[in-house]
Amino acid sequence: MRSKLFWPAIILYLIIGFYLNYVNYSEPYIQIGLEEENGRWVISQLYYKDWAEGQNISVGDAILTVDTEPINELKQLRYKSKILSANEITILKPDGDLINIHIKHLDIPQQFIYVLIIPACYYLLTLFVAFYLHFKQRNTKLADLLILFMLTVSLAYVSSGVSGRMDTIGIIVNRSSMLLCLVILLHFLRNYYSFVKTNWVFTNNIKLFYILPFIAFILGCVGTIYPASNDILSNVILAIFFILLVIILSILLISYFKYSSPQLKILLNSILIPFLPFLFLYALPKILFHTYILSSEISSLFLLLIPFSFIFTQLAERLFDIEYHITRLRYYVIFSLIFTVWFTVGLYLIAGHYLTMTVMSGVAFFTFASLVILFYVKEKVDYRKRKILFSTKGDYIHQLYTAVDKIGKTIKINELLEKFAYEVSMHLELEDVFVLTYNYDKNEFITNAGESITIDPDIMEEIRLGEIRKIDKVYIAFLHQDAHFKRALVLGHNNTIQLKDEELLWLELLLLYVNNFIENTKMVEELLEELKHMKQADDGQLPWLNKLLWLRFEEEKYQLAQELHDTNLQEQLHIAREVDVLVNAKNTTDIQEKLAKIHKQMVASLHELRTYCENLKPPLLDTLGLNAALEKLIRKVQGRANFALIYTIDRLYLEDERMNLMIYRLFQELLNNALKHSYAASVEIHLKEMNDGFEIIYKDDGVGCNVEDIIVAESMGIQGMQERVKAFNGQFAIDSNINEGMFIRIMVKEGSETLDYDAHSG
Amino acid sequence: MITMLIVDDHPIVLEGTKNLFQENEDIIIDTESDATCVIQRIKNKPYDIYLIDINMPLENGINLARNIKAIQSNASVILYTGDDITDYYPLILERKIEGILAKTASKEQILRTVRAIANGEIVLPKNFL
Repeated sequence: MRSKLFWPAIILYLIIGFYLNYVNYSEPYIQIGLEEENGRWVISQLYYKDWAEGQNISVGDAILTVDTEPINELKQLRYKSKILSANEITILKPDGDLINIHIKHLDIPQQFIYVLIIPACYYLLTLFVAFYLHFKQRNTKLADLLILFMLTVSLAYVSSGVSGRMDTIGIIVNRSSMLLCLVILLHFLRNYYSFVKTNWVFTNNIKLFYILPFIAFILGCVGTIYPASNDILSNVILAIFFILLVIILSILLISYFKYSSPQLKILLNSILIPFLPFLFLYALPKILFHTYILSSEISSLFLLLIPFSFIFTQLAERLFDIEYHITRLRYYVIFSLIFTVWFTVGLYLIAGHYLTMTVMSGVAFFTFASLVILFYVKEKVDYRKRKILFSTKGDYIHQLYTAVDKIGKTIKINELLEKFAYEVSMHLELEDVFVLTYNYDKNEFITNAGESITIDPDIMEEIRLGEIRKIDKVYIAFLHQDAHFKRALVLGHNNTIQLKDEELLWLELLLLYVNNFIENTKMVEELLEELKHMKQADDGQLPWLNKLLWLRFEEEKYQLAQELHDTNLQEQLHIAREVDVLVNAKNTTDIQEKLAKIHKQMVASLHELRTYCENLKPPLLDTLGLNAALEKLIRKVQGRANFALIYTIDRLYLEDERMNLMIYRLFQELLNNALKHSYAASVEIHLKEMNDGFEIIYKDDGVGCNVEDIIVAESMGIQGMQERVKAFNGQFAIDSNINEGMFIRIMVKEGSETLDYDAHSG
Repeated sequence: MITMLIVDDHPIVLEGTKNLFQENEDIIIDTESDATCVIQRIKNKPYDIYLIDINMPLENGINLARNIKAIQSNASVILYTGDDITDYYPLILERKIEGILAKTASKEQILRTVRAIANGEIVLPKNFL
């Protein structure tokens, strides 16, 4: 089917439809059964009994003329003993009265509605819908088939009344369109199956079936030539119609039970449900109880809904939506119904005596309708004002949760955006979902917008946080913005898209999350970068300290150089000069002796240099350990001291090796002070092991001093010791008075120092 | 025949020390300036005597001596230092080393010590007692 068939089909529809409707309009349908009695046509059956009663027509009356013509000249009476339609009839009552009856449509409201008005309305409605579908749906093959299907159904319906009048064209149109509509339906279903990618369980050779309506057309023509065969022919057509119907229904049922996809479910429902009133309210009661609940005219009206229910499959290609709307409606209807019943029962109990059944049912219906409307209004208001939505599945929150969870596991922004787009496309069942990145500075898109979808840069510039816009055939949603880029999510689907409130809300929330997430990711990245820089610049963190350290080092170096220059260098110069003298000496007799003397000098100089080095770097500390180094220091002091030196040195097991140097320096400082300033007779020094630390106790019986003076004077290196001990988180206690000797106690706990260190590094 | 490895991180000292033994053909000298390479090296080729500087930046001579003895129990180690050698005498008694020499020691002293130790004797200066 191609769209070029549209206009011919419409024109044909207009012409035939106009004719059919005109026939329906021209004469009211009265359907009076006749019997020939003594050469006269006598009424045997009246279809519209109310009307007949009102017009004083009754069984047994003889008909004389129909539309001013004598009844004997009515051709159809040869095949069918009925007057089907007429504007005017003349009857002869058994008592001899002649009655001339003008028949108007409104005289028989039933026939007026069911034979004229409803078919005409349906005819026009179909026309409008066909145009709507044609111009809205961009001529897809499915839409074309659907349009043709609806047109043929409409013609079949309108022509059914006409063919009832034994109208030639009416019969031909009715028979062909009855079969044609089913064949088109079959064709439509086949294409729809391939559209929703479901296996088609029937033959693919649909075109062959188009022979059937053609046969029906021929049979219709035959029927007009040989009117006597009409009954048989119509039975043949009905049989074929029935077979086709069974085929279609079984295709739907089989494939539904085989694949049970939601699309098929809806398709099946939309065909089966319109049959239900006819089946349960008319056909079954009629067969079982010879009565009916709803007349065949009314119950078959539901069948006309079939083509329209198919429109859903076109208008909303995503059948998911229909399911949503149906479940929502069902939900509201059930609620409203329960309350209506409750309310009506209450009303009956309270005011049942004063109200007629009609009023009661009117009130009940009004209540019900109001409640359903109320639910819809509430939903709208809730969404607009409070962002609350009716949820059929109740799983939007859950899906939001899982989506956020999945997205949250990514580390890189690009990966995050990809996953986000994927989640959105999965959840909303959209085909084209991607993230668009727009560069501010260069005014250009970085990511490809795709061939099918182009976005105006102006829109990108305009769109703001939290905004979801519908532009042409796509939605565009603001995602994130920074100094250089703006990111937006583009949602499209097969050139047509309509998101529900619920989906929009879902998307809005997710966008908010993602926006925050990007922001946070970036913040973390920046922080990490900053940390890295800080680490790199760590050395320069305290410039004043560096400067101070540098100055101190330079000062030390200067002092070292000065000392070496004053002592060792002079000696070496002296030796060099002596050797030079020897080298140039002419008298070589006592050269050996002189060289030995120089060698002695050199060794002495070396010893001095070594002592000097040992002062700078305590000997033995890193070879034989702290105890050996301390022993050596003490031996040296003992060698020079005038006091008795009493000492004990515990073996320490310290984790931090730098402590050894500190202890050594403390000993050195204390003993040097004793040597230089104490004038003591005896000095005690002890290194004691303690729980996770050590203790140094110094005691002398020397001249002592005023503690405040020491600290103020910065002499004796006591302040230096104090600072060093403090730096290692230790305690330094000094007790001294003039002429009362001196007592110093130093305590350092390794644990506290380590803990402190950890705290800083952590 | 005595084989000896001299380990010292100062190339000039290494060269000077090696030169001391030049005239003695019964003493074969090899040198090594990287203390950390020694263990790997002597696994393939052990020496009778090791003359090792104490103060080396990567591994001090005392540790090196211990490591050598761990894989070659018959090795004789002589420490060789610019420090005051009296501090290290206890190491001889602890059998951690066989001898100790000052870097200021004379050629004769050094040769005598090496030969004595090669003969399984221990040479101790008088001030040790």
